[in-house]
Amino acid sequence: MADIALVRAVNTPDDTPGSEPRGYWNTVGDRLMHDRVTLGVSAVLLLIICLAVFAPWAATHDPLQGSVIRRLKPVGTPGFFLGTDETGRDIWSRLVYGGRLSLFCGIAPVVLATMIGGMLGLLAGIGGRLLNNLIMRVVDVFYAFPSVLLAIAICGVIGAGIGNTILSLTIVFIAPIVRVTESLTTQVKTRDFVEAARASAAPLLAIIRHQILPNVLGGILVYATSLVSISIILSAGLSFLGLGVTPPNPEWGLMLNALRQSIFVNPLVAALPGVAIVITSLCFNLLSDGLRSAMDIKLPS
Amino acid sequence: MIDRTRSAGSDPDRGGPAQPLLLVRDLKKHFPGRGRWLGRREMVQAVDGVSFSLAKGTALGVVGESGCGKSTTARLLVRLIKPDDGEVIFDGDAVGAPQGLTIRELRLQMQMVFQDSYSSLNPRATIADIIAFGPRTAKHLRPLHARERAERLLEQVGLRPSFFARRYPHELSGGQRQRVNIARALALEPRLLILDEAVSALDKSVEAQILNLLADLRRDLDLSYIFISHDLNVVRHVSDRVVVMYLGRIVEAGSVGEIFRRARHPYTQALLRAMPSMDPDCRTAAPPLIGDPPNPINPPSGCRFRTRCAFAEEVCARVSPRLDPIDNQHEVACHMAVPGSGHSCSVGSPDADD
Amino acid sequence: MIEPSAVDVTDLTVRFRLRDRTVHAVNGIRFRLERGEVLGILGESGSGKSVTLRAVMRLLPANCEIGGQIFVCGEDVNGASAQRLEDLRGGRIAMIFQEPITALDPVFTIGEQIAETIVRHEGVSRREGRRRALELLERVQIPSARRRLDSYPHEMSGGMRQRAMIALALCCNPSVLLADEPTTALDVTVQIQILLLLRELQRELGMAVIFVTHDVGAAVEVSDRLAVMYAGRFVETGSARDVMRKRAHPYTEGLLAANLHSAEPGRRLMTIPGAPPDLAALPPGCSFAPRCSRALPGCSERVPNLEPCGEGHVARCIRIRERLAVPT
Repeated sequence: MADIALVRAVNTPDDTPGSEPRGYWNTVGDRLMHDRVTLGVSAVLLLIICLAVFAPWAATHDPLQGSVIRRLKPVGTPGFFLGTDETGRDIWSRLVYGGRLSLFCGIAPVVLATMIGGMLGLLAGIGGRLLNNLIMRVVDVFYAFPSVLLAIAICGVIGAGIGNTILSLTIVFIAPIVRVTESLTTQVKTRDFVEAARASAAPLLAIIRHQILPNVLGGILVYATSLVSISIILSAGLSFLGLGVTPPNPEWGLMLNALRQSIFVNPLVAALPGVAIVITSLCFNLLSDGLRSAMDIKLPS
Repeated sequence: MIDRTRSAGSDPDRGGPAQPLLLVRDLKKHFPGRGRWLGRREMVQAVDGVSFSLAKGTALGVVGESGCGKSTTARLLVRLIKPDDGEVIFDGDAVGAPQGLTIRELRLQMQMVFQDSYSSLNPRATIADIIAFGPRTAKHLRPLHARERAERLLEQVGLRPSFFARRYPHELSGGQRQRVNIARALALEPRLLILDEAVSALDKSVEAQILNLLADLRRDLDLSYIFISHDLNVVRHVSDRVVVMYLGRIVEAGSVGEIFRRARHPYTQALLRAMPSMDPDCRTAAPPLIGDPPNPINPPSGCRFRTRCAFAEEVCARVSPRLDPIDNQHEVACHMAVPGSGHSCSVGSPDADD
Repeated sequence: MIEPSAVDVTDLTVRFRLRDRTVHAVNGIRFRLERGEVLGILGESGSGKSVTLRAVMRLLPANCEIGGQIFVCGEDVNGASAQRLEDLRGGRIAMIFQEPITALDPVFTIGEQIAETIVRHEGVSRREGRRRALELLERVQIPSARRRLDSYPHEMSGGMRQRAMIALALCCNPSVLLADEPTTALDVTVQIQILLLLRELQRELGMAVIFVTHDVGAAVEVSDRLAVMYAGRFVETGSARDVMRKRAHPYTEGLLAANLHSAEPGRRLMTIPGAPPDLAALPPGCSFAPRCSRALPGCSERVPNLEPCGEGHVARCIRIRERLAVPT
C-alpha cells in the first residue's frame, strides 16, 4: 500500500541537498543503536570476550595450580572470591581462562562452517538442477542426524581434543548453513535486479559478487550468530562427555563434569561453569535476534 | 581505452534503414506445468508461435491481458529464458546461430527496462553503482569511466548526479526509480529497448513524465522500442505499430491507427470497448466480454478465443486461424476476416453481410 | 425522525507517530454520504485516500491518532467499544480490497468463509448460512456457483476471487461498502465486469459506497459524486459530471490533463511538475502551491477553504471565483 507508505522518499530531483544517503548498513546500525536489549547483550559479550582475551591479567591465580587444603571452598572465600574446585584450583581464574577455550571452540567451528557451507550453498543456489540436487541431497543426509548425536559420533571416531572438537562441530554445522544459504540465494536469484544484471551480459562471477552476495550475507550473519550460541553449548557438552577438551585444560564443560561429584558439597560452586555457559549462549542468541530485527527493515516502496 | 566489444556483429546499423531491426519468427515456449505422477505432464503454452518484425527507429506496442505471454516473449527476446523453437534475427544476424550473434552480443544491443518494483534495483548498491555495473563488468570499462558514464546518464534521465549518484534505491520514489531503470538499460548503449510494463506501477502524473522522457530519449539516441503493456492508452500513445496477444498467440497486428480505429479481431474490439468511460453521462452499459482470461494450460482447440467470442462457430474449434494480412500491413488471425474460411461471416460466403 | 446519513465524517485527521517524525496522512476531511450514494475518492499514492477509508472502519494500526468524528448510520465509530466495532464490521460496514488473496483465508473454502460470517453476525444455522452463500455467489455472477462453494481461494482466477470477496462483503447486507482499489490489479476486461457488477449490486441493495481509486475511468464508471484528494485533504468535491467537466481545482485539471485517454498520440503529455509533498513535512498553506502553475504568493500563507463553484461543487483554491466567474 503505497498510500500508507509512511516515509516519503526524496521527492523532486532538486530536493534537500546535504542529507546523507542512508545505506542499508547505516540504517541497520542506527536501529541497533536504539535497541537497548541488543546493546546490553553486546556489552556483556564484549566483557566476556575481553576477560577471556586478557585472562592473564584478569585471573587472580594460576588456573592449573591446585592445593588439597583449599578444596571446594565456597563463594566469598577471601582471595578466592568464587571458591575453589575439587582439586583446590581457583574457580574464577579457571572460568576466565576457560572462557578462551569455550569461546574458541564455540566460535571457530561456526566461522569455518560459514565459509565452507556458505560457498556450497551459493553453488547450490546458483547452479542448475543437477548441482543443486547433488549438494542438497548430501546435506539432507547430514541433516537427518540430530546435531548432538552427530557431534558425539564424529568425536567418538576421531578422538578427543580441541582440534577434533572443532572439526566435528564444523561438520555438524555445515549442513544447516548450506540450507540457509541455498534458500536465500534462490530467493535473491529470482529478483528482478538479478535478472537485469543477467540481461546486461555481465559475467556470472560479477553477478555473484555484486548482486547476490551482498543481499545474502545479512541473513547468513544472523543465522551464524544464532549457531554460535548452540555451538558453545555443544562444545561444552562434548567436553562434559570427555570427547572434547582434555583435562587439565580449563574449559567450562570440562569443569562442569569435574564438579559434578561435588554438587552435594558445594552446589553453588558446582553450578558456576554452567552459569557461564548459559549466559554466553543466551547473549549470542539475543544478539542474533537483535540483528535479525534490525535487518528486517521494511523499506518503503 | 580499447573498446573490446567491437567485433563484426556489433557495428551499428549494418543492414541499412530498410532492414528490420528485429525479426521474430514462430517463437515458442512451453513450460512444464504441475506434473502428475503418472500420465503426461501438462504444458503451459506460454508463447505459441509468435512472429513479428520491428523497423528501425520505430516503437512496437505489445498489448494483452494476464496469461497472454507478453512478458514471456520479452524475456525470450533477451534470452533470459531459452526458447523451445523459433528464431530471432537482429539486424540481419540470427541469434544463437553459428554465424550469427552470440547472446552476449545481442544483449549489448538489446536491453530491457523492468517494471518499477522495489526489487528491480539492487537494494545494497548505490544508484551510480547500479548504472555502472553493466559497463564495468560486461564492457570492462575502467571504474572511473563507468562512473562518468553513469553520471552522464543520470543527467539524461533527469536526475541530478550530484544528488542521486550516492543514494540507495529505497530513498527514491517510484518515478525516480524508474528513471534509474531506464538509465541502467541505456548504460550499455543499446539500439533496442524492451520496456516490460515500464510505467504500469506508477501514478498517472508520474507516468506522463516518464513517457515524455522515453519519447525524448528515443529521438535523441535514435532508439527503437518494444513497449509491453496491458494499458491500451499507453500503448496507443507510444507506439507506431501494435500487436495484440491472447493466450500465447498474436491475434491482430497493425499500425496504431488501424488497430485503434479499425480493429477487426473480436478480442481487440472487446479490449477497446472495455476501457472505462471518462464521461459520467455516458457510462458503459454492459461488459464486452464475460468471464476471465482462460488458463494457458490446455488452451481451447482451434482459435483460442472462441470460448469467449460472440461469433464463434464450428470451424473456429476445428481450425486455428493464421495471422493473415488483410490490407495495409494489417494482419488478423480470425476466420471472419479470411475469405473462404468456412465462417459464415467471412467475405465470399453466401451469408456474409458486408 | 430524520434518518441519519450512512456515513458522516467531520474534520477527520490521522497522524502516524514514528520514531523521528510525524506523518500527517489525513488533514481535515469532511463529507456526508447518504444511503444509495456512491462517493469516489480519487487520488494518487500518498494522498491519504486508503487511510481515510480505513479510518471509517477503524482499521488503522495502534500507533496512529485519529481526530475528528466518524459516524456510520448514526453510530460513533471512533468511540465505539471493541465489541461493538466487531459487530459493525461485516454487519453494517464491509470492505473489499485490492488483493483478494490477502483478504480471503487460504485454508477455508469460499462457502465456508461466507457461511461462517453469516452465522457469526446473524446467528442462523449452518445450513441456512450455506444456502445464503450459494445465493450470494450466484448474485455476483460466479459461474458454476454450486461447485465454487467448495473451492479454495487459490483455485480461482483473479476476477473470480474478487467476486468472491464481494460476496463475502455483502453477505450480511451492509449499509456501507468501502472499496479500496478493488479493480486496480485486474485485467481490463475483468475490471469493467467488476465495476458494472458493483454498480448493479449497489443499486439493488441501496448501499452507500465509498470507492477509492487512482484510476479516473474506474471512478467515473461507478461514482455519483467525486472527491479529489491531495496531501490528505479534499481539494475538490462535487458530482461526477461537474468535477469532470469543470475541473475547478488546478490539481484536478493537471490530473485529468495528464490522462492519456484524451492525449494526442505522439504529442508531449501535459504533466504536473515535481512530486507530491512529504506528508511528514507539509508546506504551509495550500499543499499543491509548490507545483501549481496558477499559484500566487497568498496561496502559501493559509490553507484555502473550500470555495463554492457550482451547485454542490466546491474546490479548495482561492482563485476559483475568478477562474470560473461564478457570481458570489
